Formats: sequence, C-alpha cells, structure tokens
Amino acid sequence: MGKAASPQELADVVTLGHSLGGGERRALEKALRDLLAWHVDLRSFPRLAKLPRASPYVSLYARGKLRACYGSGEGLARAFLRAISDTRYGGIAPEERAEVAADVAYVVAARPVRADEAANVLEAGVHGAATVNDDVATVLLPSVARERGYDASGFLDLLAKKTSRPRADEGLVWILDMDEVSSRGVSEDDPMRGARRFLESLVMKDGRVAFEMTPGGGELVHTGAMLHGRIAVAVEALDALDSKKTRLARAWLARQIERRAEGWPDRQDMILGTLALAARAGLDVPFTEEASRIDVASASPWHLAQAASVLGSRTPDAMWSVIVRSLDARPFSPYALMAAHARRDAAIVERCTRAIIEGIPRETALASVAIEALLPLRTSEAKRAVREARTFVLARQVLDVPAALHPRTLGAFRASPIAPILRCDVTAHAALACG
Amino acid sequence: MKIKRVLTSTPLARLHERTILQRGPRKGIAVPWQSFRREKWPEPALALAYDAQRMLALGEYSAVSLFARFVDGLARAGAPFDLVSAATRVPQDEIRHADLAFRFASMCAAREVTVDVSQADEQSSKRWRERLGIEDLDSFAIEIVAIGETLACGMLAACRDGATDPVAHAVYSNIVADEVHHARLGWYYLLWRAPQWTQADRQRVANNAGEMVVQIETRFGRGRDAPKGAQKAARALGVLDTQRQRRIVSDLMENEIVPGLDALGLGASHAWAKRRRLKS
Repeated sequence: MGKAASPQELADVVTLGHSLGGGERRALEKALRDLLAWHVDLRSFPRLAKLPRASPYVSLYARGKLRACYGSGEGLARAFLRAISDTRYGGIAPEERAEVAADVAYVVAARPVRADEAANVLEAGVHGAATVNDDVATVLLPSVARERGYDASGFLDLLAKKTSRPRADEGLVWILDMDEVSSRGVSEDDPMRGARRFLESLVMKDGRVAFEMTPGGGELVHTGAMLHGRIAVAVEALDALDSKKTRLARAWLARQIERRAEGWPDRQDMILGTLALAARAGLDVPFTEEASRIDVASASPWHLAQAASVLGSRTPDAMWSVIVRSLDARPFSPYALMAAHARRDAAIVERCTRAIIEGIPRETALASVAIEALLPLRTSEAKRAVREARTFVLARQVLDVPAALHPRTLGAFRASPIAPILRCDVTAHAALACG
Repeated sequence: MKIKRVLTSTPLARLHERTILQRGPRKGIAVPWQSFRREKWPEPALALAYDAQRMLALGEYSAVSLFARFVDGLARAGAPFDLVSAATRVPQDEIRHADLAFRFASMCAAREVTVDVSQADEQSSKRWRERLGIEDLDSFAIEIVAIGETLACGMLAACRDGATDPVAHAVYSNIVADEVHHARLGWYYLLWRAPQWTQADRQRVANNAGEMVVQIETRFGRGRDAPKGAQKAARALGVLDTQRQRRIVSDLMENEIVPGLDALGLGASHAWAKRRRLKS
C-alpha cells in the first residue's frame, strides 16, 4: 500500500493524498477484473482486497467507447455497481458484458484556482477539474478531454454544463491531479521497447507499414496525408530502435516511392518533403534532382526546410533565402535549425534555437522534432528545453493501456494530450527524440 | 443580479469610508489594508481566501434585505423597542461586513470581484414571505438569528484566531464583534417570545428548531481544505479547513445552541442525538 497521508476533502470527494503505489495499483486492477467477471453472470460477488480510502470514479468501456461512468464516496464496489446501471452514455448491452473494460480514477490532490484563471492552469487530458456547489463536487475526469478532444476552455465549458450552470468567471475551479488504473493489465516498463513494439505492429508481412492505428479498435489504417513521408519517419525510427523489421519496411517503402503508388502527394513541395524524409530514413531516392526543380516561391517553407536539413551546405541559395525569410512569420522551424546547423550558419542557429525553446508546442510530433533539432546544441538552455520537452513527450506514451484503448496500442504515443491519434510518425518522432 | 463594491461619488461615500468602515455604530477595528502583501501567499491559499471572502460577501449582502424584513416584521408585531432597535442595526452591520469581504476578496484575487445574489435571493423568497408574521418571526429568529448567527460567530471567530495576516485578522475581528450581538438578538427575541407561546406554538417552534438541528452536521461539515504546502498560508488568511470547522460546529452545537434551545423547552438534544451524520 502507498504511504499513508491525511486525505484532503473536496466537498463529498475524498482525495488519495498520495500517488497510488505498485501494490495498490495491482489490487485495484484485480478488483476491477473480478468485478467485471462478476458482472457477466452475477455469480459470487468478489471479495475485494483492502483498497484505497478515497472516492473512486469507475468508467466502463465497450469496443473503445465510454458506456458508463460513476463515482462514489463509498468505495470501489459501490462506484462499480452505480456505473453498471448508468445509461447516460448508452449503458452496457447484455451481449457486450464479456468484453467490457474498466478504468478507475482517484483524485490524488485538488488545487483551487480562481475560475477566471482555470483555463490557463488546467492541462487538458492531464488534469481533471471540479466545481463545488451546495457541498457537492461535480468532477470531470481527464479521460474526457483525451477521448473527446477538449481543450482547457472546452473542458471547463463541459464542466459548467454538467453542473447545469453557465461557466462563470467568479468562484473556484479545482484542478485535480489524478491516478488511473485499468482492468486491462497491459503495460510496459521500457518506453523505447514499447515504441518499437508499437511501430513493429504497424509493419505487415510484406513490409507494408500502416499509417495509423485506431485507438479503440486497434485496426490498422493505410491512408492519410503525407503517407509516404510519415512512413519514412517510422522506418527511420525502426532503424534507430534496432528493429528486425526495418529492412522489410524500408524495401517496401522504396518500391512505393519508385512507383509513386497510391497516396503519393500531388504537390511538388510535399513530394520534396516526402523524399527528404525518405532520405533521412536512409532510402536512396532522387531527392537532389527534385530539389533543383522545385519552384521555391510557391513551396511551403516547412517542406523546403525538411529538404535543407538533408542537403545542408548543398541547399540552393534561393531555397535557403525563402526558408530564412519565412522565419519572420513562422519562427518555430526545427528543420530550419537542423539545416542551419549543417550549414554552420551561427546566426540562424541562434535565431531558430531561441524561437524553438520559447515555443515548443504541446503536440507530440512537433515537440519531438524540436528535441531532435536541439539535441546537437550544448547550451544549458537547450539542454533544459530538451529535458522538459522529453518529459512532455514521454507522458504521452501509452505504457499502461486504459480501457478506452485497444491492447494493441501499447507503446504508442498520442498525438497530443487531447488527441487520441496514434499515427506512425508521431510514435516514430517521439522514439527518435527520446531514444 | 450581480453585485460589486460600488460607492457613490457624493460626500456620503467619504462618510461611509470613515464612519461605517472605520468606526461603525460600534467601536470597530481599523483594517490595515495597505499592509496586505499578496505576493507573500501561495496561489491556492489566495484562491481559497478569495472564495471564502466572496461567499461571505454574498451571505452578508443577502442578509441586508433579509434582516430588513425581520425589522419590518418586528415593528409590525409590536415587539419591544429594544429588540426593534437592536434589529435595525443588523442590516447596517451586514452591508458593512459585505463591504469588508468584497474588499478583501478583491485583494486576494487582485481584481474587482462580483457576486451573483439571484440564487440566494430566490432561495430566501421561497423560504420567507415578504411580510413576516409572528410565526414567521419565530422561525426566522430560530433559524437565521439564534442558530445561524451563533454558528457564524463561532466559525468566523475561528477564522480570526487562525488568521495571522493583519488584514484578514482585522476583517474577521470586525465581523465577529458584530455577529456576537446578532446572535444575542436571536436568543433575546426567543426569551421574550417563549412565555407567550401556547403548547401548539412551542411544538411548532420545536419542530422548526429540530428540523434545523438534525441537518447542522451535514450542512456545515465541510470547510475549505488547502492542498499540501498551502495549508498554513490558507489558515493565516483566515480559511477554515474541514477538520477545524467540524470541531467548532460540534462544540457550538453541544455547548451553546442545543442547551440554549433545550432551556427554551424546545427539546433540541433529542434532535441532535438523531442528527444526520457525516460519513468519514
């Protein structure tokens, strides 16, 4: 059991006061599985181990969709019993009972903030939130933002809607640090082993690499924007992770690029970006020719910078000028930093570094590319930014599969704290940045 | 209706500042507003103090019209002059308290604070008639004045005792000094009325008191719990946590309110024994 601490009370919600310990997590996982098993045939209600003395919130999922959710101040069994009869989210059909998965969430600590400040403090997908009216707390779990894509403001609007009151600037909102445990029991300790496992699960027998995996069903999707470019990043990451499937995937991608197969971009700059990413992944592609043909004036500076990151000092002057000029409007450009580093252009390195350190987005792939770009730099500022960005990126990884996700998603990185998108390049970029 | 702290631009405002806020009808304690150092306190503690003051402002502001109705009822009922006179002071005290709470809430929030009185107004309209008859006055004196103000007095005194911030301490000291008189007013009213009650009247008032007493522990059982690291600061700003609030409410009920009601022949100890209890 975790370290004893005096629990904080938030109206009718009792908080844990400490993070769940390993023993507590295992006991909760088993209790959830036993309760789910009982729910199938209603024979012999399980004897539950000693569980944390705090208010649990049980969420039930079938086929990756939330079907029921309830909290209780009377322990896990009561919360579970309330949840199985909750029909607000559709309820559980009899034929689904055997495949239901459950999560339980506890409030570790609650921090009050003024309602007008809450949107600046709350990190959607990470924090829960609560308001207290007439001594009753209305709680919204962080999983709601993750599964439905709410940003902080949308999340707070939803919380207000749940209380049937308009969102106000006055009063308090409680920001909740929460611990969650799933009945799935599918977990991984090593982030990079998890990332390799996920990326390998996207590679089929003939080397075909899937574009993404659906979060709830675990199905592979083979289409999407910048298909071959993103798959190239996955190939680069498989190589970096020493995967045995690298050669197979690289060969398949080379064939696809040679054939300009289905999903090949129709814009010249996207083709250039795709070939640049393929070159970064070690594929022998006609990249230099494409770069010499491109109309830099009409091309996206992002893709030009991708090309320049490979070409380095061989980047045509006209292309480099467009990239540098574009920094005025869009200073966050990790590929421009990589290119400037390769070209030994100290002024642009300085400029890009500052912009990246100041503006690393809360989006997994972009934060990861920023890390990749900052990694060669030796300044303490860059090192600190890398450390912080890595913490953000690693927190996006599915290392303990929740009930809302398919077990095959283990090891994947979510596209952002609130986007349940499991695209190949997101995990690949994260692995390249954190491996 | 949203309320914020607004004064006129007439000389009355200066009079209000000087006479009401500094001295008041009773000898008040000057609040050292200038000494408040917001940056000294952690944000969670400031947020809780802001919330406590905002809710206090709401309660005190709503009490102005509520007590005005009580005064009106007393005068119409031909109550003794000393009771009417003491009651007339309460609305003025309440607006003064609201003013103090608004000011302190704004300092904690570092911005102007508003409160929405619509809901409180709606609730009091449902509970109390516009013109209070003698039976309503009995209920009002039990619920709002005797029990309500005695609890308020005890809890606010605990806030004051924990408050080491000079502004918080002075704000609470000012309010507590008046609340004592408000609570006494309730008990004095009941002492005046009790001999006039018939058996049926007494039973009606006892039912009323009992209904309130059984709910006290659950209604007042939760304070404002600061997160780790902000507990001392919250207390220093006059925030009352759950543990202390429960202890104070229990002490007040067992040592003051229940014996007081029993002495009036209202049998409150039976109700207290059957009270709704908090799980914990």
